[in-house]
Formats: sequence, C-alpha cells, structure tokens
Amino acid sequence: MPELDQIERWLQALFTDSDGIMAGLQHGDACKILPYTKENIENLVQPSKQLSSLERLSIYRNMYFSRLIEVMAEEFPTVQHLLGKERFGTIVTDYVSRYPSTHYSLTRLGCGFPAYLADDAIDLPEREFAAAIAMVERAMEDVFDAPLVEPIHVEVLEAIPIKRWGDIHLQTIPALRLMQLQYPVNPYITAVREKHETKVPRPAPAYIAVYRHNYRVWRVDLDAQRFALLSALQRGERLGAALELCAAIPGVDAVELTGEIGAWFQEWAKTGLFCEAKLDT
Amino acid sequence: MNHLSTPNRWNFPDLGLGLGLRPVHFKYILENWPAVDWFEILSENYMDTEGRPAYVLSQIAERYPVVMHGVSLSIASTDPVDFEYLRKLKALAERVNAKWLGDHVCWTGVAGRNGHDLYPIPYNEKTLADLIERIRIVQDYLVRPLILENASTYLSFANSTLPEEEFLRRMAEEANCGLLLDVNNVYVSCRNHDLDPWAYLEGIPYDRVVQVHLAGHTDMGTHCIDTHDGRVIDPVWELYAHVLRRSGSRATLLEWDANIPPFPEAHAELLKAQQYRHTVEAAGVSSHA
Repeated sequence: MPELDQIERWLQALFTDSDGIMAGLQHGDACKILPYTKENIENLVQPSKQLSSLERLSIYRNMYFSRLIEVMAEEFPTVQHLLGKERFGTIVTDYVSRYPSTHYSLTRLGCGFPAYLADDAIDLPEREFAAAIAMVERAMEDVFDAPLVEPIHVEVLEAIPIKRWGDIHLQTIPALRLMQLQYPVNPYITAVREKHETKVPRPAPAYIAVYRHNYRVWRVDLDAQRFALLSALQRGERLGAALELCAAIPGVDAVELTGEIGAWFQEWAKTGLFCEAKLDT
Repeated sequence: MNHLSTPNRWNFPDLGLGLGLRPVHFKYILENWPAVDWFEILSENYMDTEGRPAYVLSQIAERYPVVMHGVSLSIASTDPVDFEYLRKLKALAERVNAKWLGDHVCWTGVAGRNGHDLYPIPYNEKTLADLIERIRIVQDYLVRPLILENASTYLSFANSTLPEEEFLRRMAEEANCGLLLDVNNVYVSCRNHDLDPWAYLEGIPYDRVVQVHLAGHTDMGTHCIDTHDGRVIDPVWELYAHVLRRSGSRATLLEWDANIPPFPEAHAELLKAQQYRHTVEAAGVSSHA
C-alpha cells in the first residue's frame, strides 16, 4: 500500500488532469506515481454500492475544474462574454493546468491570466483583445484588496507654494493601477457588465486608471497626457520632471498644459489618488 | 436525558445561532444590523485584503461575536506546515477577536499546490499519528485549540482501518483539539459511503464539540454533494436534534454558499434551529449544565 505522500500526489495528479480521470490514470502524471491497473485502483479507492472507484474519483476531478472555471468567470466576466462560456471554460482549463494554484486564496487564481492570454493562448484569434480586458479586470481585483492608506486632501496640495510645485514628490495610493493598452476596452467592459449590446472595438491606443475610492473600484479612461503624468508620479518622479515628460508628448502645448493641470490635480486629489506629498529639501 | 448533556471542555460559549458571513449580505447587514447571534467568516477571504471586506468585517466584529473557519489550512497534507499562512491566520484572529478558529480534517493540496477542495485521507493508525503531530505543531503556534470539522467525502480508501467517527474521536483526544460537527456532512458522507449516520453520531466525543454546522446539499441519486446551495433537509434536522440531545445547546451555524438568498431568508432558515434548541432546553439539557 502506498504511503500517504504518494496517495496525495497521485490523487492530486488525477483530480487536476485536464484530459480526465481515465487518461490521467493511463498516461498522465498519476501513472508515474502509481502504475495503472484495475487492481491498483480498487486496492486503493473503494467502490460504493452505487459508484465505481473511477466514478468516485471523477467527482473530485469534475468539481476541481468546474469550481475554478466558476471563480474565473466571476473575476473575468467580460473575457467570458467575449469568448463565450464553452471556449472560456476550455481556456481556463488550459490555464489552470499550466499554472495551477499555489496560493491559499482563490482571489490569486487569476493573477497570471492576462499574461497567459497574451503569451500562451496562441490559438485564440481574439487573444490580444482578451488579454487587454483581462488586464483591466485583474487590476480591479487587485485594487479591491490593495493596502489601505489615508489619501491626502486637496487642501494639502493647495497649501504648497506654487514656486515649489516642481519639487513635490506625490505618492500615489497602492490601490491605483495605470495601464496603456492597444484597445479601448473600458467602454466594452462597461457595456458587457451592464448587459448592453456592444461590438469588439478596433485597435486604438487606450489609457486606463483603475483605483479604489471609499471602498469602491472605479475605471476611468485617461488621455495620453494625464496617463504620462500620473505614471511618472507613480514611478516616483518629481512633479517638475513628470510635467516635462508630459510636455514632451508630440502635439502637447506646454502653455495649455500649464493651464489645465491645476484642475487635474483638484480632481485627482478629490478622488483620493495621492497619499503623500513630500518636498525635496 | 440530562445525563447525556456534555459541556465542551474548554468552556467555549454557546454563541447561539450564527450565519456564515457572505459579501452578498454586506449591504443588508450594515444597513440593518440584524438580530443574528454571531457570524462565521471564511478566514482566507479576509487574510490578504484591506478593502471593503476588511472594512465590513471590522464593523461587524465591533457588534457581533466572530468565529473563523478556514478552508486552506490543509492540516492533513504531507507538505511542510505553512507558517506564513499561520502567521496571517493568527493576526486576523487577533484583529477580529475571534472566539475560536478552525478548519477541516482534510488536505487541500500537496507539492505546493492548492486544489481548493477538501480532499479525504485514509483513516488508519499511521495517518492518525501524522495528523495529531501536525495539529500539535499548529496549535502550539496559534496558542489555542483548533476546532476541526468533519468534511463531506466522496470516496473512501481501502487502507482505512478506523471508522471516521473513531478517527475523529482519537484525533481530538490525543491532539487535544476541538470538533466542529457538521451534521450535513455526516449525512452526506454516510450516504456516500453506505453508512448509518445515527451510528456515526454515537461515536462522537461531545465534550470536544464546540460548534455545529448546518447546510443544504445536492442529492445526485447515486451520491450527495455538499453544495451549501439550499435549505437544510428534514433528515439533517433530525440528526441535529439528536446532536443537541447528546451535547446540549451548541453554537450552531448555517452555511449557504451558492444560490444565496436575501439575508432575511437565510436568517429564517437558521432560526428553524431555535425549536430544536428550545426542546432541548425545556428538557433541561444545557451545555452549561
């Protein structure tokens, strides 16, 4: 009789075999642990009055994939909508087979899904669009659980003398993700989540911020300047340097930019995007 | 019947009737502060978040007793004990002032993986000794007893030499841990393994039972699945009444995890347990006897 360690490894290999119990027993990782014979199986797993040993093993195997597909569908409803239930199920089955969960929480299951769609799902015609959606939906999950820090108020920014603004380091909150994408996915995600008719958009540059404010998760489209500015601040650049990067974007008028940024910062501070303002000494 | 009443050995309180805390009910709870006696949380759902779940839990923990119930301790795994997981578990227990914490008699993964299911082990002397050793290690770290639940199982092993209830009794006594007796799981496992649930309940050490679980399940005809997706069926209520007669009133919790109804409906299902508790109390059987 095998030791418990062998039994657990054998069962895990069977329960997580995407080709099914029988294939797993005969050709999968499980048969490397315990060679397949009918006697071997029945000497380990007892049949019940109603079910054979194989049928009993299949219960766990079927629940494994159905549970993980359900969890992924909750996290990536727009990707599921795009692909359809059946193809989504096939893709998730492949994803969890290649990248099985190693974390105690199911909230981490989808961490690698955007990269999987972009890099591994090579037979998927819509993979670039699907990966872009998945990035945003995963970011929503990330900011939902991100560390809580107290945002600074508008008054804190207003109290800084204008001549010192170039020297400010504005730290963005941990619950902020900024993404540059090749598709305008945000309206598509909104339409799908609100159950409206929509079509797959044509590729076009898109800039999105996903953040948490008052325990709610928000998605907003940004223009290239706002994205460049916020990204530079998130990287730790001084505001002066961040503005220089922003002004260097082709087509940006530095004078117009100077006139607009006050309103941007008012808006961002109101939505709690910054948690610290430090002046270079 | 009084002589059958058995207080639990740690004097953990009978918290009354509680519900599993689920996000779909957050809004209702925060707006109504319903008259439920206590809440049980799924530990892993709150260990790594500082978002809305953490905020809601902090509000709830100020007003209700909270019990922690995990699904990834993997106490019967042959992998090394995950002390980082335990550190977070312990920190959460302190943060919410958990009355007690527990998990299941199962393993959830091996070789660093997690299958996110409650997998069974063979019930024999070797697995019992290994399990007891792990429970002691975990309890020493947490500095409190674990309250471990009988899981629903869908297969049994040919090398099992002990009935599940005897395995649980010896595990609880020799590791000095508590039991969370899931009455629905008793029904489901006994159906799946062609066993008698009444005989199963006779083997339970009631002085080790700190908490009772109730839930619905799905009857597939050839077997039952512990789906937590509906009402408690009458045979499970009958088993629950028997447990109360043996143990006296115990903290009782209703789990509802799929097709979750509005809070008042789940609460109404939970309150059905009151009649069984009243019957037991009227007969003079009390966990504080």
